[in-house]
Amino acid sequence: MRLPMRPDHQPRPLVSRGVSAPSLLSELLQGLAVQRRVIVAIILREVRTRFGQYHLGYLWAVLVPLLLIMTLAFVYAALGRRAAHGASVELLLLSGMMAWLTFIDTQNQASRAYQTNRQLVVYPMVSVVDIVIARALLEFGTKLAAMSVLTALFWAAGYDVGIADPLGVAAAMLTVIYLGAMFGHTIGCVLVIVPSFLFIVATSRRILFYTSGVLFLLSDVPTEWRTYVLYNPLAHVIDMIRGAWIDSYSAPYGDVVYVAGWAVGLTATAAVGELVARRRRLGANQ
Amino acid sequence: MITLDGVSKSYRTANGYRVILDDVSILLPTDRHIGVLGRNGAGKSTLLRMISGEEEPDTGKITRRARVSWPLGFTGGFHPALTARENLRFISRIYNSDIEEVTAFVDDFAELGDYFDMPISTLSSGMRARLAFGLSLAMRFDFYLIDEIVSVGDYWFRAKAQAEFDRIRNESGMLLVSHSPATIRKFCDTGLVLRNGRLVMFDALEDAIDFYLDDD
Repeated sequence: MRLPMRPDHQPRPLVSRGVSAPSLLSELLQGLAVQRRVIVAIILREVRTRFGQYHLGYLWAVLVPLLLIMTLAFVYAALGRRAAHGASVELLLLSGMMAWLTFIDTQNQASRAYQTNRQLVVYPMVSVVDIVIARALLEFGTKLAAMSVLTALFWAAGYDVGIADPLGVAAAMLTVIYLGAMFGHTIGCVLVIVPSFLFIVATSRRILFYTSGVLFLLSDVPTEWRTYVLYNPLAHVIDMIRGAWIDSYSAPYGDVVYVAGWAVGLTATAAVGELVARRRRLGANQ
Repeated sequence: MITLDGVSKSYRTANGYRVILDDVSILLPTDRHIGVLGRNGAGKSTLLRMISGEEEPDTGKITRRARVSWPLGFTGGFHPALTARENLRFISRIYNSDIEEVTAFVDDFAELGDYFDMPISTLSSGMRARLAFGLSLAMRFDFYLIDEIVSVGDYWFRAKAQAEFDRIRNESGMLLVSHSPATIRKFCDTGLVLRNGRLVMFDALEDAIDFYLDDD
Protein backbone atom coordinates (compact mmCIF):
# COMPACT_ATOMS: atom_id res chain seq x y z
CA MET A 1 0.00 0.00 0.00
CA ARG A 2 1.68 3.21 -1.16
CA LEU A 3 0.44 6.64 -0.29
CA PRO A 4 -0.11 8.93 -3.29
CA MET A 5 2.36 11.74 -3.95
CA ARG A 6 1.63 15.17 -2.58
CA PRO A 7 0.40 17.42 -5.39
CA ASP A 8 2.69 20.34 -6.32
CA HIS A 9 0.13 23.08 -6.13
CA GLN A 10 -1.02 24.61 -2.91
CA PRO A 11 -4.75 25.12 -2.66
CA ARG A 12 -5.93 28.66 -3.18
CA PRO A 13 -5.57 30.66 0.04
CA LEU A 14 -9.10 31.63 0.86
CA VAL A 15 -8.12 35.03 2.17
CA SER A 16 -5.14 37.12 1.23
CA ARG A 17 -4.02 39.95 3.42
CA GLY A 18 -1.03 42.19 3.79
CA VAL A 19 0.56 41.02 0.55
CA SER A 20 2.29 43.17 -2.04
CA ALA A 21 0.85 43.78 -5.50
CA PRO A 22 2.76 41.17 -7.56
CA SER A 23 1.93 38.29 -5.23
CA LEU A 24 -1.67 39.48 -5.09
CA LEU A 25 -1.80 39.02 -8.86
CA SER A 26 -0.20 35.58 -8.69
CA GLU A 27 -2.63 34.58 -5.96
CA LEU A 28 -5.50 35.77 -8.12
CA LEU A 29 -4.24 33.69 -11.05
CA GLN A 30 -3.74 30.69 -8.79
CA GLY A 31 -7.25 31.19 -7.45
CA LEU A 32 -8.63 31.23 -10.98
CA ALA A 33 -6.73 28.03 -11.80
CA VAL A 34 -8.27 26.33 -8.76
CA GLN A 35 -11.72 27.60 -9.70
CA ARG A 36 -11.35 26.25 -13.23
CA ARG A 37 -10.30 22.87 -11.84
CA VAL A 38 -13.27 22.84 -9.47
CA ILE A 39 -15.76 23.81 -12.20
CA VAL A 40 -14.44 21.10 -14.54
CA ALA A 41 -14.70 18.53 -11.72
CA ILE A 42 -18.29 19.59 -10.95
CA ILE A 43 -19.28 19.43 -14.64
CA LEU A 44 -17.89 15.89 -14.91
CA ARG A 45 -19.79 14.91 -11.78
CA GLU A 46 -23.02 16.58 -12.90
CA VAL A 47 -22.83 14.74 -16.23
CA ARG A 48 -23.26 11.56 -14.19
CA THR A 49 -25.99 12.84 -11.87
CA ARG A 50 -28.08 15.00 -14.24
CA PHE A 51 -29.23 12.31 -16.65
CA GLY A 52 -26.68 9.55 -16.15
CA GLN A 53 -28.69 7.90 -13.37
CA TYR A 54 -31.75 7.31 -15.52
CA HIS A 55 -32.67 4.82 -18.20
CA LEU A 56 -32.11 6.31 -21.68
CA GLY A 57 -29.74 8.87 -20.06
CA TYR A 58 -29.15 11.96 -22.16
CA LEU A 59 -31.81 10.91 -24.68
CA TRP A 60 -34.25 12.68 -22.32
CA ALA A 61 -32.68 16.00 -23.23
CA VAL A 62 -34.08 15.42 -26.74
CA LEU A 63 -37.22 13.45 -25.89
CA VAL A 64 -38.75 16.01 -23.48
CA PRO A 65 -38.77 18.96 -25.91
CA LEU A 66 -39.75 16.68 -28.80
CA LEU A 67 -42.84 15.47 -26.91
CA LEU A 68 -43.85 19.01 -25.94
CA ILE A 69 -43.36 20.36 -29.46
CA MET A 70 -45.25 17.46 -31.09
CA THR A 71 -48.19 17.84 -28.70
CA LEU A 72 -48.46 21.60 -29.31
CA ALA A 73 -48.00 21.14 -33.08
CA PHE A 74 -50.86 18.62 -33.00
CA VAL A 75 -53.13 21.07 -31.16
CA TYR A 76 -52.21 23.87 -33.56
CA ALA A 77 -52.93 21.62 -36.56
CA ALA A 78 -56.33 20.69 -35.06
CA LEU A 79 -57.12 24.40 -34.62
CA GLY A 80 -55.93 25.15 -38.11
CA ARG A 81 -53.32 27.64 -36.93
CA ARG A 82 -50.42 28.59 -39.16
CA ALA A 83 -47.38 30.66 -38.45
CA ALA A 84 -46.65 33.92 -40.20
CA HIS A 85 -43.52 35.10 -42.04
CA GLY A 86 -43.17 31.90 -44.02
CA ALA A 87 -42.10 29.89 -40.98
CA SER A 88 -43.71 26.59 -40.09
CA VAL A 89 -45.55 26.04 -36.80
CA GLU A 90 -42.96 23.39 -35.96
CA LEU A 91 -40.13 25.88 -36.35
CA LEU A 92 -41.96 28.46 -34.26
CA LEU A 93 -42.46 25.90 -31.49
CA LEU A 94 -38.98 24.39 -31.78
CA SER A 95 -37.24 27.75 -31.36
CA GLY A 96 -39.58 28.99 -28.62
CA MET A 97 -39.69 25.75 -26.65
CA MET A 98 -35.92 25.22 -26.66
CA ALA A 99 -35.38 28.79 -25.44
CA TRP A 100 -37.99 28.36 -22.69
CA LEU A 101 -36.70 24.96 -21.54
CA THR A 102 -33.16 26.31 -21.52
CA PHE A 103 -34.24 29.20 -19.32
CA ILE A 104 -36.35 27.21 -16.92
CA ASP A 105 -33.95 24.25 -16.60
CA THR A 106 -31.01 26.57 -15.96
CA GLN A 107 -33.05 28.52 -13.43
CA ASN A 108 -34.04 25.29 -11.71
CA GLN A 109 -30.51 23.90 -11.65
CA ALA A 110 -29.09 27.19 -10.38
CA SER A 111 -31.67 27.72 -7.65
CA ARG A 112 -31.12 24.19 -6.30
CA ALA A 113 -27.32 24.30 -6.59
CA TYR A 114 -26.82 24.51 -2.82
CA GLN A 115 -29.75 22.34 -1.76
CA THR A 116 -28.62 19.36 -3.86
CA ASN A 117 -24.91 19.75 -3.08
CA ARG A 118 -24.82 20.45 0.64
CA GLN A 119 -22.13 17.81 1.03
CA LEU A 120 -19.71 20.03 -0.90
CA VAL A 121 -19.49 22.70 1.80
CA VAL A 122 -16.76 20.73 3.58
CA TYR A 123 -14.42 21.40 0.67
CA PRO A 124 -13.30 25.01 1.15
CA MET A 125 -12.37 25.53 -2.51
CA VAL A 126 -15.90 24.77 -3.71
CA SER A 127 -18.42 27.61 -3.58
CA VAL A 128 -22.08 27.64 -4.53
CA VAL A 129 -21.19 30.08 -7.31
CA ASP A 130 -18.87 27.42 -8.82
CA ILE A 131 -21.76 24.94 -8.83
CA VAL A 132 -24.03 27.49 -10.55
CA ILE A 133 -21.38 28.22 -13.22
CA ALA A 134 -20.74 24.51 -13.82
CA ARG A 135 -24.45 23.76 -14.13
CA ALA A 136 -25.04 26.70 -16.50
CA LEU A 137 -22.17 25.58 -18.75
CA LEU A 138 -23.42 22.01 -18.78
CA GLU A 139 -26.95 23.20 -19.54
CA PHE A 140 -25.66 25.34 -22.41
CA GLY A 141 -23.85 22.38 -23.97
CA THR A 142 -26.76 20.00 -23.42
CA LYS A 143 -29.37 22.35 -24.86
CA LEU A 144 -27.30 23.31 -27.91
CA ALA A 145 -26.71 19.62 -28.64
CA ALA A 146 -30.41 18.79 -28.13
CA MET A 147 -31.38 21.71 -30.35
CA SER A 148 -29.05 20.50 -33.11
CA VAL A 149 -30.41 16.96 -32.93
CA LEU A 150 -34.03 18.18 -33.00
CA THR A 151 -33.35 20.51 -35.93
CA ALA A 152 -31.78 17.63 -37.82
CA LEU A 153 -34.78 15.39 -36.97
CA PHE A 154 -37.34 17.94 -38.18
CA TRP A 155 -35.27 18.60 -41.27
CA ALA A 156 -35.06 14.88 -42.03
CA ALA A 157 -38.87 14.66 -41.60
CA GLY A 158 -39.26 17.24 -44.36
CA TYR A 159 -39.88 20.42 -42.33
CA ASP A 160 -38.25 23.68 -43.31
CA VAL A 161 -36.22 24.38 -40.16
CA GLY A 162 -32.91 25.58 -41.64
CA ILE A 163 -31.05 28.03 -39.36
CA ALA A 164 -30.18 31.27 -41.17
CA ASP A 165 -27.73 32.55 -38.54
CA PRO A 166 -26.45 29.77 -36.24
CA LEU A 167 -24.09 32.09 -34.36
CA GLY A 168 -26.93 34.50 -33.67
CA VAL A 169 -29.04 31.64 -32.28
CA ALA A 170 -26.13 30.46 -30.08
CA ALA A 171 -25.56 34.00 -28.78
CA ALA A 172 -29.24 34.38 -27.90
CA MET A 173 -29.17 30.97 -26.18
CA LEU A 174 -26.16 32.09 -24.15
CA THR A 175 -28.19 35.13 -23.09
CA VAL A 176 -31.04 32.86 -22.01
CA ILE A 177 -28.58 30.75 -19.98
CA TYR A 178 -27.17 33.84 -18.30
CA LEU A 179 -30.60 35.20 -17.39
CA GLY A 180 -31.66 31.77 -16.12
CA ALA A 181 -28.52 31.31 -14.01
CA MET A 182 -28.72 34.77 -12.41
CA PHE A 183 -32.48 34.53 -11.83
CA GLY A 184 -32.05 31.02 -10.43
CA HIS A 185 -29.18 31.96 -8.14
CA THR A 186 -31.16 34.92 -6.81
CA ILE A 187 -34.09 32.58 -6.08
CA GLY A 188 -31.77 30.02 -4.47
CA CYS A 189 -30.37 32.70 -2.14
CA VAL A 190 -33.83 34.03 -1.21
CA LEU A 191 -35.03 30.46 -0.53
CA VAL A 192 -32.26 30.01 2.05
CA ILE A 193 -33.75 32.89 3.99
CA VAL A 194 -37.49 32.68 3.11
CA PRO A 195 -38.48 29.12 2.13
CA SER A 196 -42.10 30.09 1.37
CA PHE A 197 -40.79 32.19 -1.52
CA LEU A 198 -41.13 28.92 -3.46
CA PHE A 199 -44.84 29.59 -4.10
CA ILE A 200 -44.12 32.98 -5.64
CA VAL A 201 -41.45 31.38 -7.83
CA ALA A 202 -43.86 28.72 -9.11
CA THR A 203 -46.46 31.35 -10.01
CA SER A 204 -43.97 33.68 -11.65
CA ARG A 205 -42.71 30.81 -13.81
CA ARG A 206 -46.20 30.27 -15.24
CA ILE A 207 -46.69 33.96 -15.94
CA LEU A 208 -43.27 34.10 -17.58
CA PHE A 209 -44.16 31.11 -19.77
CA TYR A 210 -47.49 32.38 -21.06
CA THR A 211 -46.10 35.83 -21.84
CA SER A 212 -42.80 34.65 -23.32
CA GLY A 213 -44.00 34.14 -26.86
CA VAL A 214 -43.22 30.41 -26.94
CA LEU A 215 -46.74 29.83 -28.23
CA PHE A 216 -47.06 32.82 -30.56
CA LEU A 217 -45.17 35.34 -32.63
CA LEU A 218 -45.08 38.81 -31.11
CA SER A 219 -46.30 40.31 -34.38
CA ASP A 220 -49.55 38.31 -33.99
CA VAL A 221 -50.30 40.01 -30.65
CA PRO A 222 -52.55 43.12 -30.75
CA THR A 223 -50.49 46.26 -30.14
CA GLU A 224 -52.14 47.25 -26.84
CA TRP A 225 -51.36 43.81 -25.37
CA ARG A 226 -47.91 43.59 -26.86
CA THR A 227 -46.73 46.43 -24.61
CA TYR A 228 -47.38 44.24 -21.57
CA VAL A 229 -45.89 41.11 -23.08
CA LEU A 230 -42.71 43.03 -23.80
CA TYR A 231 -42.10 43.56 -20.07
CA ASN A 232 -41.01 39.92 -20.11
CA PRO A 233 -37.32 39.84 -21.08
CA LEU A 234 -37.76 36.29 -22.39
CA ALA A 235 -40.21 37.57 -25.01
CA HIS A 236 -37.39 39.77 -26.32
CA VAL A 237 -34.81 36.97 -26.38
CA ILE A 238 -37.17 34.48 -27.99
CA ASP A 239 -37.93 37.07 -30.67
CA MET A 240 -34.17 37.46 -31.21
CA ILE A 241 -33.70 33.69 -31.52
CA ARG A 242 -36.43 33.54 -34.16
CA GLY A 243 -34.96 36.52 -35.95
CA ALA A 244 -31.62 34.74 -36.20
CA TRP A 245 -33.21 31.41 -37.09
CA ILE A 246 -35.75 32.48 -39.70
CA ASP A 247 -34.32 34.27 -42.72
CA SER A 248 -37.52 36.17 -43.51
CA TYR A 249 -38.17 37.30 -39.91
CA SER A 250 -36.30 40.32 -38.62
CA ALA A 251 -37.14 40.18 -34.88
CA PRO A 252 -38.53 43.72 -34.63
CA TYR A 253 -39.33 43.45 -30.90
CA GLY A 254 -36.08 42.06 -29.52
CA ASP A 255 -34.57 44.98 -27.61
CA VAL A 256 -30.93 44.28 -26.75
CA VAL A 257 -30.69 47.19 -24.32
CA TYR A 258 -33.79 46.07 -22.40
CA VAL A 259 -32.42 42.52 -22.08
CA ALA A 260 -28.99 43.83 -21.04
CA GLY A 261 -30.72 45.89 -18.34
CA TRP A 262 -32.32 42.72 -16.96
CA ALA A 263 -28.99 40.90 -17.13
CA VAL A 264 -27.28 43.64 -15.11
CA GLY A 265 -30.16 43.87 -12.63
CA LEU A 266 -30.29 40.09 -12.05
CA THR A 267 -26.50 39.97 -11.67
CA ALA A 268 -26.82 42.58 -8.90
CA THR A 269 -29.61 40.70 -7.09
CA ALA A 270 -27.66 37.43 -7.39
CA ALA A 271 -24.53 39.08 -5.96
CA VAL A 272 -26.39 40.65 -3.04
CA GLY A 273 -28.29 37.39 -2.46
CA GLU A 274 -25.01 35.45 -2.38
CA LEU A 275 -23.54 37.81 0.22
CA VAL A 276 -26.59 37.49 2.47
CA ALA A 277 -27.18 33.76 1.97
CA ARG A 278 -23.54 32.71 2.39
CA ARG A 279 -23.52 33.12 6.15
CA ARG A 280 -26.96 31.60 6.57
CA ARG A 281 -26.03 28.53 4.54
CA LEU A 282 -22.92 27.93 6.62
CA GLY A 283 -24.66 28.68 9.89
CA ALA A 284 -27.44 26.25 9.04
CA ASN A 285 -24.94 23.44 8.75
CA GLN A 286 -23.79 23.29 12.35
CA MET B 1 0.85 28.29 8.96
CA ILE B 2 -2.76 29.14 9.76
CA THR B 3 -3.54 32.67 10.85
CA LEU B 4 -6.61 33.78 12.77
CA ASP B 5 -6.86 37.54 12.62
CA GLY B 6 -9.46 39.25 14.79
CA VAL B 7 -11.83 36.29 14.47
CA SER B 8 -15.21 36.41 16.19
CA LYS B 9 -17.98 33.84 16.00
CA SER B 10 -21.23 33.48 17.88
CA TYR B 11 -24.52 31.66 17.53
CA ARG B 12 -27.99 32.86 18.26
CA THR B 13 -29.73 30.55 20.70
CA ALA B 14 -33.01 30.73 22.59
CA ASN B 15 -31.21 32.48 25.47
CA GLY B 16 -29.40 35.08 23.40
CA TYR B 17 -25.98 34.87 21.77
CA ARG B 18 -23.49 32.16 22.56
CA VAL B 19 -19.98 33.38 21.93
CA ILE B 20 -17.53 30.83 20.52
CA LEU B 21 -14.64 33.15 19.67
CA ASP B 22 -14.34 36.77 20.74
CA ASP B 23 -11.84 38.76 18.64
CA VAL B 24 -9.17 36.03 18.59
CA SER B 25 -5.84 36.55 16.81
CA ILE B 26 -3.42 33.62 16.85
CA LEU B 27 -0.88 31.81 14.68
CA LEU B 28 -1.21 28.03 14.44
CA PRO B 29 1.98 26.31 13.23
CA THR B 30 1.00 23.53 10.83
CA ASP B 31 4.04 21.38 11.64
CA ARG B 32 3.00 20.83 15.27
CA HIS B 33 0.59 18.43 16.92
CA ILE B 34 -1.82 20.76 18.63
CA GLY B 35 -4.37 19.59 21.16
CA VAL B 36 -7.47 21.74 21.67
CA LEU B 37 -9.00 21.38 25.12
CA GLY B 38 -12.42 22.73 25.96
CA ARG B 39 -15.58 21.92 27.83
CA ASN B 40 -18.55 20.39 26.04
CA GLY B 41 -20.29 23.22 24.23
CA ALA B 42 -17.30 25.57 24.30
CA GLY B 43 -17.29 25.49 20.50
CA LYS B 44 -14.40 23.12 19.73
CA SER B 45 -16.12 21.54 16.73
CA THR B 46 -17.13 24.95 15.39
CA LEU B 47 -13.52 26.09 15.71
CA LEU B 48 -12.45 23.02 13.73
CA ARG B 49 -14.97 23.70 10.98
CA MET B 50 -13.84 27.30 10.77
CA ILE B 51 -10.17 26.29 10.47
CA SER B 52 -11.08 23.78 7.74
CA GLY B 53 -12.89 26.51 5.81
CA GLU B 54 -16.28 24.84 6.07
CA GLU B 55 -17.64 27.69 8.17
CA GLU B 56 -16.84 31.38 7.97
CA PRO B 57 -16.20 33.62 10.97
CA ASP B 58 -18.69 36.41 11.68
CA THR B 59 -15.86 38.94 11.55
CA GLY B 60 -12.10 38.64 11.08
CA LYS B 61 -10.07 36.48 8.74
CA ILE B 62 -8.63 32.99 8.69
CA THR B 63 -5.76 32.37 6.28
CA ARG B 64 -4.52 28.90 5.43
CA ARG B 65 -1.06 28.46 3.90
CA ALA B 66 -1.05 24.69 3.82
CA ARG B 67 -3.16 21.78 2.63
CA VAL B 68 -5.63 21.56 5.49
CA SER B 69 -7.89 18.53 5.80
CA TRP B 70 -11.62 18.47 6.35
CA PRO B 71 -12.51 17.42 9.92
CA LEU B 72 -11.55 13.75 10.13
CA GLY B 73 -14.30 11.35 11.01
CA PHE B 74 -16.63 13.39 8.89
CA THR B 75 -18.33 11.13 6.32
CA GLY B 76 -20.85 13.53 4.76
CA GLY B 77 -18.67 14.81 1.91
CA PHE B 78 -19.78 12.16 -0.57
CA HIS B 79 -22.51 12.33 -3.19
CA PRO B 80 -24.99 9.62 -2.17
CA ALA B 81 -26.01 8.69 -5.74
CA LEU B 82 -22.44 8.29 -7.03
CA THR B 83 -20.21 5.29 -6.34
CA ALA B 84 -17.25 5.39 -3.99
CA ARG B 85 -14.94 5.34 -7.02
CA GLU B 86 -16.75 8.27 -8.67
CA ASN B 87 -16.66 10.28 -5.44
CA LEU B 88 -12.91 9.67 -5.14
CA ARG B 89 -12.39 10.91 -8.69
CA PHE B 90 -14.27 14.12 -7.94
CA ILE B 91 -12.43 14.84 -4.69
CA SER B 92 -9.04 14.00 -6.25
CA ARG B 93 -9.80 16.49 -9.03
CA ILE B 94 -10.69 19.40 -6.76
CA TYR B 95 -7.64 18.75 -4.56
CA ASN B 96 -5.39 18.30 -7.60
CA SER B 97 -4.34 14.81 -6.49
CA ASP B 98 -3.53 11.93 -8.82
CA ILE B 99 -6.81 10.08 -9.41
CA GLU B 100 -5.24 6.68 -10.09
CA GLU B 101 -2.95 6.74 -7.04
CA VAL B 102 -5.71 7.89 -4.70
CA THR B 103 -8.12 5.29 -6.06
CA ALA B 104 -5.54 2.49 -5.75
CA PHE B 105 -4.66 3.42 -2.17
CA VAL B 106 -8.22 3.83 -0.92
CA ASP B 107 -9.44 0.68 -2.69
CA ASP B 108 -6.72 -1.27 -0.92
CA PHE B 109 -7.09 0.48 2.43
CA ALA B 110 -10.87 0.67 2.90
CA GLU B 111 -11.55 -2.94 1.82
CA LEU B 112 -14.96 -2.21 0.37
CA GLY B 113 -14.77 -5.02 -2.20
CA ASP B 114 -17.69 -4.87 -4.63
CA TYR B 115 -19.13 -1.91 -2.75
CA PHE B 116 -16.35 0.24 -4.15
CA ASP B 117 -18.47 0.48 -7.30
CA MET B 118 -21.82 0.86 -5.59
CA PRO B 119 -23.60 4.14 -4.80
CA ILE B 120 -22.55 5.64 -1.45
CA SER B 121 -26.18 5.46 -0.27
CA THR B 122 -25.94 1.63 -0.24
CA LEU B 123 -22.83 1.55 1.98
CA SER B 124 -23.03 0.84 5.70
CA SER B 125 -21.88 3.57 8.07
CA GLY B 126 -18.76 1.53 8.89
CA MET B 127 -17.90 1.29 5.18
CA ARG B 128 -18.40 5.02 4.74
CA ALA B 129 -16.18 5.76 7.71
CA ARG B 130 -13.40 3.51 6.34
CA LEU B 131 -13.74 5.16 2.94
CA ALA B 132 -13.56 8.67 4.40
CA PHE B 133 -10.61 7.79 6.62
CA GLY B 134 -8.71 6.14 3.75
CA LEU B 135 -9.39 9.12 1.54
CA SER B 136 -8.13 11.64 4.08
CA LEU B 137 -4.93 9.60 4.39
CA ALA B 138 -4.53 9.42 0.61
CA MET B 139 -4.95 13.20 0.26
CA ARG B 140 -1.62 13.68 2.06
CA PHE B 141 -2.71 16.83 3.86
CA ASP B 142 -0.08 19.01 5.56
CA PHE B 143 -2.36 19.53 8.53
CA TYR B 144 -5.02 17.15 9.78
CA LEU B 145 -8.05 18.30 11.75
CA ILE B 146 -9.41 15.61 14.05
CA ASP B 147 -12.58 15.85 16.09
CA GLU B 148 -12.09 13.26 18.88
CA ILE B 149 -10.26 10.06 17.98
CA VAL B 150 -12.86 7.49 17.04
CA SER B 151 -11.88 3.99 16.15
CA VAL B 152 -13.38 2.77 12.94
CA GLY B 153 -14.34 -0.69 11.82
CA ASP B 154 -13.42 -4.11 13.11
CA TYR B 155 -10.27 -5.17 14.92
CA TRP B 156 -8.15 -5.74 11.79
CA PHE B 157 -9.09 -2.45 10.33
CA ARG B 158 -8.25 -0.76 13.61
CA ALA B 159 -4.74 -2.21 13.59
CA LYS B 160 -4.22 -1.10 10.01
CA ALA B 161 -5.78 2.30 10.65
CA GLN B 162 -3.54 2.76 13.68
CA ALA B 163 -0.42 2.03 11.63
CA GLU B 164 -1.40 4.49 8.92
CA PHE B 165 -2.42 7.09 11.46
CA ASP B 166 1.02 6.86 13.10
CA ARG B 167 2.67 7.24 9.71
CA ILE B 168 0.64 10.37 8.91
CA ARG B 169 1.38 11.75 12.36
CA ASN B 170 5.11 11.51 11.71
CA GLU B 171 5.01 13.52 8.52
CA SER B 172 2.09 15.95 8.98
CA GLY B 173 0.92 18.40 11.58
CA MET B 174 -2.44 17.99 13.26
CA LEU B 175 -4.97 19.70 15.40
CA LEU B 176 -6.83 17.36 17.70
CA VAL B 177 -9.98 18.36 19.52
CA SER B 178 -10.82 16.48 22.71
CA HIS B 179 -12.32 16.94 26.13
CA SER B 180 -9.98 14.26 27.46
CA PRO B 181 -6.51 15.33 28.69
CA ALA B 182 -5.34 11.71 28.35
CA THR B 183 -5.99 11.69 24.60
CA ILE B 184 -4.28 15.04 24.17
CA ARG B 185 -1.27 13.83 26.19
CA LYS B 186 -0.95 10.76 23.99
CA PHE B 187 -1.01 12.49 20.60
CA CYS B 188 -0.03 16.15 21.02
CA ASP B 189 2.97 18.32 21.84
CA THR B 190 1.29 21.73 22.06
CA GLY B 191 -1.82 22.74 23.94
CA LEU B 192 -4.60 25.15 23.10
CA VAL B 193 -7.45 25.88 25.49
CA LEU B 194 -10.79 27.25 24.31
CA ARG B 195 -12.72 28.96 27.09
CA ASN B 196 -15.21 31.83 27.24
CA GLY B 197 -14.54 32.95 23.67
CA ARG B 198 -10.76 33.01 24.17
CA LEU B 199 -8.14 30.73 22.69
CA VAL B 200 -4.95 30.40 24.73
CA MET B 201 -1.85 28.64 23.39
CA PHE B 202 0.68 26.87 25.67
CA ASP B 203 4.06 25.68 24.46
CA ALA B 204 4.21 23.19 27.30
CA LEU B 205 1.36 20.74 27.01
CA GLU B 206 1.06 20.17 30.76
CA ASP B 207 0.53 23.90 31.34
CA ALA B 208 -2.43 23.77 28.97
CA ILE B 209 -3.88 20.77 30.75
CA ASP B 210 -3.43 22.45 34.15
CA PHE B 211 -5.12 25.57 32.87
CA TYR B 212 -7.97 23.51 31.43
CA LEU B 213 -8.52 21.49 34.61
CA ASP B 214 -8.31 24.64 36.71
CA ASP B 215 -11.56 26.00 35.31
CA ASP B 216 -14.02 26.16 38.18
